[in-house]
Amino acid sequence: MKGAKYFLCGLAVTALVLGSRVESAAQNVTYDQILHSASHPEDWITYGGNYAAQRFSELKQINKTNVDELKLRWVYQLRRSGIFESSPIVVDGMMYVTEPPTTVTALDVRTGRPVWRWTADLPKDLLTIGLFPTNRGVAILGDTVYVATIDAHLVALDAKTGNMRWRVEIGDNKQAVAITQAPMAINGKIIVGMGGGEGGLRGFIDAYDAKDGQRLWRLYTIPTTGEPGVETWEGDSYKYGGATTWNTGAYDPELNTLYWGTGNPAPDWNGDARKGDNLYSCSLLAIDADTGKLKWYFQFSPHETHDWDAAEPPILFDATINGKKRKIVAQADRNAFYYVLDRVTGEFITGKAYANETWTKGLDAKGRPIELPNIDPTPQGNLIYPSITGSVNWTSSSYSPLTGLFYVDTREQGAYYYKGHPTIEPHNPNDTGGGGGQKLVNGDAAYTAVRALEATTGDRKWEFKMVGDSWTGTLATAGGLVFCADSQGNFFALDAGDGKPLWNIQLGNSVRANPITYAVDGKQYVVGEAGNAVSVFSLP
Amino acid sequence: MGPEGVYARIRGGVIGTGMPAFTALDDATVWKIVDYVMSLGHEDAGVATGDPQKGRAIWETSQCGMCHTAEGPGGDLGPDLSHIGVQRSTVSLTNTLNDPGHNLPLDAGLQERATYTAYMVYRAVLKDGKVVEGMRVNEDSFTIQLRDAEGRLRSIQKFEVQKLEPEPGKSFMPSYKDKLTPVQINDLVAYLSSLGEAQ
Repeated sequence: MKGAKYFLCGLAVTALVLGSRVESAAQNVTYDQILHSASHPEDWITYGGNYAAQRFSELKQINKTNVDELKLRWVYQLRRSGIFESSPIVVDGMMYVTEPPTTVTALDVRTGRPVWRWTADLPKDLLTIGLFPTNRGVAILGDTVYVATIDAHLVALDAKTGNMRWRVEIGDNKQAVAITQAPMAINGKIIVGMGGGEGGLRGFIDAYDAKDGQRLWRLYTIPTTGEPGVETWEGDSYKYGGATTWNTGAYDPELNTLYWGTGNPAPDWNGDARKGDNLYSCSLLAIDADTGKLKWYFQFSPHETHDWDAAEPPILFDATINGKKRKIVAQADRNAFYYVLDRVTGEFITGKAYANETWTKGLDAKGRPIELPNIDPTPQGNLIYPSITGSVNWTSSSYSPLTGLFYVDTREQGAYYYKGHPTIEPHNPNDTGGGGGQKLVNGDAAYTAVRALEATTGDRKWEFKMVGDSWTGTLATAGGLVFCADSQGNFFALDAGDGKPLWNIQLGNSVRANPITYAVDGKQYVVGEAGNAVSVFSLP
Repeated sequence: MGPEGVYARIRGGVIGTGMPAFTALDDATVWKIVDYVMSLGHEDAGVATGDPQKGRAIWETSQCGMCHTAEGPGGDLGPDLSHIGVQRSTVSLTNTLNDPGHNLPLDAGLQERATYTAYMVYRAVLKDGKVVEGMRVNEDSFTIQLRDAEGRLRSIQKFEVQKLEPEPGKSFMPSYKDKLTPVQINDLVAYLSSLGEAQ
């Protein structure tokens, strides 16, 4: 199938002729266009750059030899302040960026001037339990932009005007359902998950008809009475167990399978009343895109008690391992382990720690963690690595088929974990995650680093250390570059081969959004977002 | 610190730190918080046993004001000590006077690096071989700003250096362990402990 072409490793990259359009084409994105996103890299057409969520661009006008010549082209200052974590979509000369908590702004990519803006009407008693009221991006299909609102609605907007076409409720915000993720558009369907797991609810992921918003299927991430897996929850704890689907996943069109991570079980820091593995929390789910049926699952952290969601975007690629061609799904998990799985069967191929961890003796032959004793939170506080924010959190890693490396924005930090009460009071913002909590181990010993892992083994090839925190994720390009940023405002480019810094600029505020790249009028741009601004760079 | 001290710090905040004044809380709530805080484990903060008047004289003769501010004008190479009495325990002050390099405070001035060690001395060897030594004022992934012993700000791009490393245990403040007697240190600590109030 044609759609699988972009998964190939080592594919020959020819010189790309960048589109030159003075006028924006009519926004009309076909499914075929998204399938073949690699052949028109001037657009950044999905949240993860392609369905494989590789955050890899074939653009190479900006490369190792000239990246130090990058100049600022334009800046867009948000009209809505707050925590800015949006990964823009760029298509046909327009950039769609979201502002917190739920505003969609369409910008002219040549100038940064707004073309339209749409803001969701939100309830005054909005519930956001255990999450920041922000938005991480949109999806586009046909001439429609799709956004999930913080109060858990899916909204369809006219891509040219921002006029609202329809709006459907995904979940009841009064029951703590809230959404910050970018939806995913596949063939005729919009896939979207949800958050709010600290509010005592049962996670799910939905598919909606892209035309009218009719719900096509729903998959609950926690089994109910009579379903296999419910026995992994003690008593009725499954009813409030969280396992939400709060970040955007990946899609293999050939296998017609969605890959979506799930959040932690609730209450977060006390598992006494939910004894068992708590399926399918902290797992990667492989879902039939037509029916919503679960094909397989892989649980990274059974009976988890440290808030280590498995919501990090998985990355799909193909590779030869031990002489055998494998279709891979890889994930650098919040729990400090990097996993390589067969994405057809869910078989564990290999895995290893990519950051310091003090909770296991490693993984067994099936990839299950061999837990050390006394790792649970305690009333006095139990020091465990990684911290609650994890070795990585919601930000995306990237994968370059040219280097075969997986680039992960890694955090090295521990935390004292405190035990809360064993039951959760649903929908109560004062009982987030069932009490308990954590205290980060701060100081000079805590740091972040861009780490390059051999994608098929998890072996570390290089790292670039950062001072302080980083909530950015990475972007890899055919120009031999990896872009990342840190919480002190540095936006920078590294040599994808050895991690040497090649360019950096101080953007003046914390960067909390994945970088992207696009091209227009024959010129490649890279986008860095800091504070409440979108900054766009190109060669002179 | 007793419960009254905790109460005062919740009500008034602690100047020079991120601790705000919780003025909107009712009294009963504040006392519940005090009870909780007092139930937590804590290190013995010690009690000032020296003579603060004598300590003030030692401050003058030791020329602490060359680098610090306490009451009235003073230097700015070291931290402002105008409220040090509510910010540091007597044990902490004594330790710092005896061995300042191993008792550096966490930075409270810059929000983004409030959790890093302040006044850490770094030694940078530039590509031309020149050496710059100074206390870290700020640092990020690509730059570091040092204040040298003369108080000058030295801004360094990390790509400009051959070598950049911290000097743990080192401080521009001398140790007073051999300069003052234990009794004099107690007096100086008593003076420092008297400085400032919860605001």
